[in-house]
Amino acid sequence: MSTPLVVVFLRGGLDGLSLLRPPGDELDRARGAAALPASGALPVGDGWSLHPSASRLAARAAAGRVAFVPASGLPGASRSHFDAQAAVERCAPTTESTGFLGRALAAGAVGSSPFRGVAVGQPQTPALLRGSTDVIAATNLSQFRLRPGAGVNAASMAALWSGDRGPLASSATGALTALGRVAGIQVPAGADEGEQLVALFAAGVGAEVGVINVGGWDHHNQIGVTGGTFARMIGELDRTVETLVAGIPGVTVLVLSEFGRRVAANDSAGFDHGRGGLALLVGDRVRGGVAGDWPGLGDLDAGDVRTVNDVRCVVAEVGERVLGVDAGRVAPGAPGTRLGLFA
Amino acid sequence: MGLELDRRQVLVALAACGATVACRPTGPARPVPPVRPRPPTTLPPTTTTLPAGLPAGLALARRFSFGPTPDLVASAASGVDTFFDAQLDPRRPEHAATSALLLGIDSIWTEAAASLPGDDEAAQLERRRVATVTAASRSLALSAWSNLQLRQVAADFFSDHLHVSIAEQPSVFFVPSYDAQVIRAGALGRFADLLLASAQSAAMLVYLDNVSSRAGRGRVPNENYARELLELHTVGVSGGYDEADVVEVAHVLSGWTLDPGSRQFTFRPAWHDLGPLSAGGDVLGWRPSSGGVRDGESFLQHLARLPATARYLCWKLARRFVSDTITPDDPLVSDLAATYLREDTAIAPVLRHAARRSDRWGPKVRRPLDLVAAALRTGSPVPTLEQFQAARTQLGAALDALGQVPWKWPAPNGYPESTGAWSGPGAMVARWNTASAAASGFGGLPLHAAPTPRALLGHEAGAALAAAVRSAPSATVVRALTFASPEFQVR
Repeated sequence: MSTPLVVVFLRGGLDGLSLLRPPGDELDRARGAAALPASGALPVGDGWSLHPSASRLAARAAAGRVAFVPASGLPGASRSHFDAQAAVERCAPTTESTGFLGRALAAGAVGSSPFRGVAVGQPQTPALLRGSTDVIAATNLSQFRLRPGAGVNAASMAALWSGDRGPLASSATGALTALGRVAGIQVPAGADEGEQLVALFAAGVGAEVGVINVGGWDHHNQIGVTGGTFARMIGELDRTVETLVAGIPGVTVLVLSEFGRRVAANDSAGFDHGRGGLALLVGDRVRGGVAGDWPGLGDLDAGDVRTVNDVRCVVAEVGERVLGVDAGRVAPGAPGTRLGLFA
Repeated sequence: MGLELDRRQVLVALAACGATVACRPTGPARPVPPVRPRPPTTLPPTTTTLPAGLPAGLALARRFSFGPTPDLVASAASGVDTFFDAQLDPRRPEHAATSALLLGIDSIWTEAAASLPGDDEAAQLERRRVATVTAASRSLALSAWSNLQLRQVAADFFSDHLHVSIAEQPSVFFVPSYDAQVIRAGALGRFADLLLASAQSAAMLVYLDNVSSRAGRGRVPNENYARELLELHTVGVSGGYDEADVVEVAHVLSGWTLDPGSRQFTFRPAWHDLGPLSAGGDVLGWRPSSGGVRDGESFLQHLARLPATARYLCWKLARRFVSDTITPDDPLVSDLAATYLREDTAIAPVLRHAARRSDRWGPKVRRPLDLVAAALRTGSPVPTLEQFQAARTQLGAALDALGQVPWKWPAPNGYPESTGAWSGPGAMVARWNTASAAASGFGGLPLHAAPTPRALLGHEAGAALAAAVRSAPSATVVRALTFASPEFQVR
């Protein structure tokens, strides 16, 4: 039994410590003036508090509908963006070339809709969705239709491409199938990525999972935790998550990044690549609160937050509880531990 | 230090930009020759794998250019060496019309930055928009209409390999000059020189934050550039370095920054400290000896000549020019790497070697920039600036929907290479819509009259396209069907 899931992947390495402040003053002791200040932060229970620009998320948290998993990641993860992103998207041994969402889709009703998995923001299929053939990636869903122009229409493209056996043959077949069903997706002009996914799920074309990539989280320099770049980006993330949760009935939103950032600032007023990061889960079936263990900032792993909560366990539980798929398919090799992320 | 550029700094950056045309407009006017129909050769099969029986020289011209115009095919038909010698001849002229177009594109940026008043948010936004458009436009225009096609395909590779994103501020302001003076100027020279030019460019210093990297006296240097230098630009993520090496490299390059007035590279001794290496030891086999900025320079020279760099760079070149599926341990990669090291990191001999190994070429799908540039190159003569400007909105929309606005990839690893990244239903719909727009010159470009599939493809249409074209009511439909066909998607 599958319910809607949207994964928001923050590319570059979210500084979890600047979004979710641990209890007490350990952050101030570790980061000094670079710390997310206690004053103005929005309490979410047990002494933890959120960045003030995440006010909608804080309201959802107050209603008990947000699970925070600090100190999360993959054990022994690389500090390379590209290796670490690939590992999180795979959530499987390196011999596997598919992504966890692609495998989850492949475990279900294959071929029932070309829109089962949809990524918006760029036409490259994210590694997360690899492994399923029922996947569409588009820069903007409003452009997923043939513009009127001499000579190019569904019939002429079918005639040109039906005998093709080249590297784009299945793309053409998939495009023609999907174009036949796209009429019902009403994407408002100027819709942002969250709004495009809301329109997609409202259209009843068989969407099961959505993906939004958000770049720009690699804050080595002038991070701007209060009143700067980071604050602005958190405000945008807050708005996107709210758009999704308010607009897609029964949705669960999973926010992930490839790693957290170093605890101490560098001399550019930024933070270099770290380890333990922050994952978020938002939705009506989510059990609110801070989940998993918190190792604290007194016992670091070479300057980084220790990774004590395995993100594969988060993904496994999301697979089981949101998509109704066996954890062995979604996150093969994940430990059996469950963080109790759902009510 | 504040990194937002005010107007004065933009002007200084521009003044430093100087000659922004990538190549000397010295030659006589040599417009793209009109395409003449030729007697049909063997019909290629309808698969888009490399068809047999193509006109001589077509495969080479297609793989080492943005589109096989008859002059390129003729040159390539005489063999790899003839083609390469002609492309590498320092006297080879740029088309006069292309030089004029580039001068116009660059001057829009120069003038906009000079004439936009104030440093308020609106002026900053407008400057950003113009810088973005300029970086993308000059890439597209040169890809499509340059007479120096080998230089442009190499530059396209290095715009990904040594990527700086126009999606970020303030690095975007430096990308037009980075495109001209670092990437296109150095794309066929020695990689060691290109790497150093990139490391000392304003664009890279700002994009990967080395501009603010300070060490010594308890300060922690910025690791961003040091890490990507190893992982993306040289030895690769499996190149045998560890976290301690990243920290050491960050120290070696600490103090590499920009002069706040001229916005040119400068070395600040007060920001520099060798850190762990002061106590002896080496990083990736290199030891400091000269001190100061010389240490960083000699480290980059060392890095460019490491066997791991040779293998990683040549593997990436092979994926671009030989086959998507080639692996780093392939004997051909070893051969290319040996050429690279023997030729003291010169790039052109590596490309020439790859060109000779057509026995190993696998199918390559045109990436979006390849696709759009090929449609322009084969379908349109060089436009005037006014014509190009009239088409710019539709060109930008097409590249955006296709997902490859030049220089816009949001991460330092550059646009992905393999077919998998550029396929799927969404990509296919964008390709078809692009074909539609290209058939009408993107709303502004001139078009060659009486197009035939052969003129646009360089070879005869396959059966399905030939049948479709037979009943096409207009030249526009012939172009649209050809650009949308399976045959047109490969290079």
